Parts: sequence; structure tokens; C-alpha cells
Amino acid sequence: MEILSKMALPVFLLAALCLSGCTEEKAKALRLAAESFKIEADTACSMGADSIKAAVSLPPRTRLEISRNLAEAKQFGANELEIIYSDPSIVDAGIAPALSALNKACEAHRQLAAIYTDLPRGYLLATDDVKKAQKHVVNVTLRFAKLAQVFDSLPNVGRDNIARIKIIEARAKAMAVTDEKVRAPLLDAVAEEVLENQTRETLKRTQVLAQFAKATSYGEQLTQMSINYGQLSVADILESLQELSSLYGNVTSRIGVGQNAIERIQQVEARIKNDPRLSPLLEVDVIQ
Amino acid sequence: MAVQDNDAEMLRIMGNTITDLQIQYRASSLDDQAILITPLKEMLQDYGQYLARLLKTGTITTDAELTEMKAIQNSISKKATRQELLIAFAKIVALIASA
Repeated sequence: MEILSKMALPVFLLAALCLSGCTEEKAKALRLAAESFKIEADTACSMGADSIKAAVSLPPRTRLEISRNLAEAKQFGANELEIIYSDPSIVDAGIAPALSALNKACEAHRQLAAIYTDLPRGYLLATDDVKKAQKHVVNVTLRFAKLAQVFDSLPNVGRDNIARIKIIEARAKAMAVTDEKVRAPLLDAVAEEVLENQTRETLKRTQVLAQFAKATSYGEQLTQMSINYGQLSVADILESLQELSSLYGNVTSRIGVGQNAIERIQQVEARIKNDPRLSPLLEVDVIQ
Repeated sequence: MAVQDNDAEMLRIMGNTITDLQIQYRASSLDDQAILITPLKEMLQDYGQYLARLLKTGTITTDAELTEMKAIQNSISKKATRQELLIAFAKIVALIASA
């Protein structure tokens, strides 16, 4: 009997902990929120990296262009062949520092999500850890909001360099035609492409910024869940996730969000900085 | 701190200069490309470094913070194992008590 009463202690402990508002379902919901932030932020980072590359990419040489290169070369050896092959690597090497900086900025939300991976298995004992993680959730979210604002300020986000080069080359080619009757429709086609590319670039920029705004909103949501974890029910957490998903779910909303991306991101930043529970958790570099 | 207007303007100018240089490069013979490739590489590197500096502004989580996050992750992971053992133990106790 004495042994049984000693062994009953863990059962009592578990029961007491279960009453503290921490349940496996809530832990799973918090993990889902962290994973959602990670997925959306990763998508934004990937779209950001693509936009950095697209802004300075070279069109690949066509067979016709290579034939012309071969015909015009005074000599053709290993060095000349290397020049033909090196087009993509010139661009990749040039933008490598920018992509490396972006990748470094995008490490934090991945590590943040990893914190919650095992939470559903350890939710009873890990309440202190969840509390400790709050500081990181807030700072990572605000740093991501800053990254989003940097992208909003970059003029070349959405820029399609390959399309621009082709437009300029097509115009030069058209202008080389002496017969005005033949030249006019060629220039008209170039003009059409100028307009179409402008629309494509604007849309691309909007999509990139909308994704950054979306990820920032998921970061803010995770921040609020983390801070209010004790008071929230599973239903509250899931409902909040559902609301965000609906907001960004349809195309019309996404475009609207993209057009107001900077406002949304700045609003998140202001809300976090002005929240008396969150502001004491901010690191010096994110306050500036 | 957001990107300043002069930074944005500088990037715009650099981007356009790269495009013009690339067009000149593509229109050149391989002999001339062998000469033009150096300034093109340098221009792209300057652009990449300029962009990198802006992207780092207030966005990078320090190594110390990343280490701290990793430590919290490890702590939760260890507690998850302990919790599983505890629950298994509690189930055995409950089984014995009901027997």
C-alpha cells in the first residue's frame, strides 16, 4: 500500500499539471502556428531570393547567338568556350553576398519553429521553456517585419532583367530596319511587350511583398499565441489560424494585401513595439 | 531602420547600369567579351555587396540568440522523453491500482 501511495505521486503530479491550462492539443496548436509562420516566411524568403536573381539575370545565349559568336571570334579556344559557359555563374557569383545575407536573416524563424517540434510530447514539463521562447518569438517576428520593409524599399523587386534586355535588343533590331513600313509594326510589337512586362513586373512585386506581409502576420499571430498561451483555448488558437488563412486565401485578398503590404507590416511592428507585455522583451537592435 | 531613398536610388542606377553593360556584352564578339567580362563581374559584385549590406540591417538574429533557441529546443526535447516515461509509469501505477 505504501509503495502504491509513493507511485501515485506522479499520477497526482500529472493531474495537477493538466489543470494548469497546458494540454497536448494546445501544444499541437502552438506548434502548428510556429510551423505556419516558418512555411510562410520560407516562401517569402524564397520569393525574395528569386526576385534578387531575376533583377540581374542574363538571357541564355541562343544557338543563333552562339553561331554568331563562333563566326566572329578571331580565335576560339578553351578561354572563349569558357566565356560562353560562364554567363549564369557571373550573375550567381555577383549576387552571392546578397543571397547569403538573406539566408542568414531567414535562419531564425526556422530555428524558432524547431523549438516547438517536441512540445506536444513534453507540454507538461516544458512550460518554463515555452515562457523562455516568448522573447525569441517577439524578436524574430520583428526582425522579419524589418526584412519585409527592406524588400518593400528595394526598387528592383519584381524587375525582370531578361525581359528588359530582350525589349531593348528588340527595339535596337527594329531600329536597324530602314524600311519604315516594316519597322513600324516591329516597334509596335516592342511597345506591346513594354506594357505587358510592366504589368508582369508590378504583379510580381505585389506578390513578393504580399507574401512578406502574410508571413509577418503569421509571426505576429505566433507572438500573441505565445504570450497568451495560458489563457487561450485550442479553439481560440485554431480560429485565429483559420482567420489568417481566410484573409490570405483568395487571390483578390492577396492582391489587396500586396498593395497595402508596407502598411500592414508597419502596423505589426507598431503593435509589437507598443504592447507593454512585448516591448520589454525586445532586443536593442530591433527597437532601433 | 528601413532602406534610405538614396540607397534605393543607388540600386536603381546600379541595376540599369548592369542591364546596359549586359546588352553591350551580349552584342560584342567573344574577343571583346573577354575584356568586358571583368567590369561586368565587378559591377555585379558591387551590386550584390550593396544589397547584402541593406539586407543585413536589423534583420539578422545573433549567433548567441540562435544558440539560446537551440538550447530551448533541446530542453523541450529532453522533457518530452521524460514526460513519455512519466506517463508510461503513471499508466502502470493506474493498472496496478485497478487490479
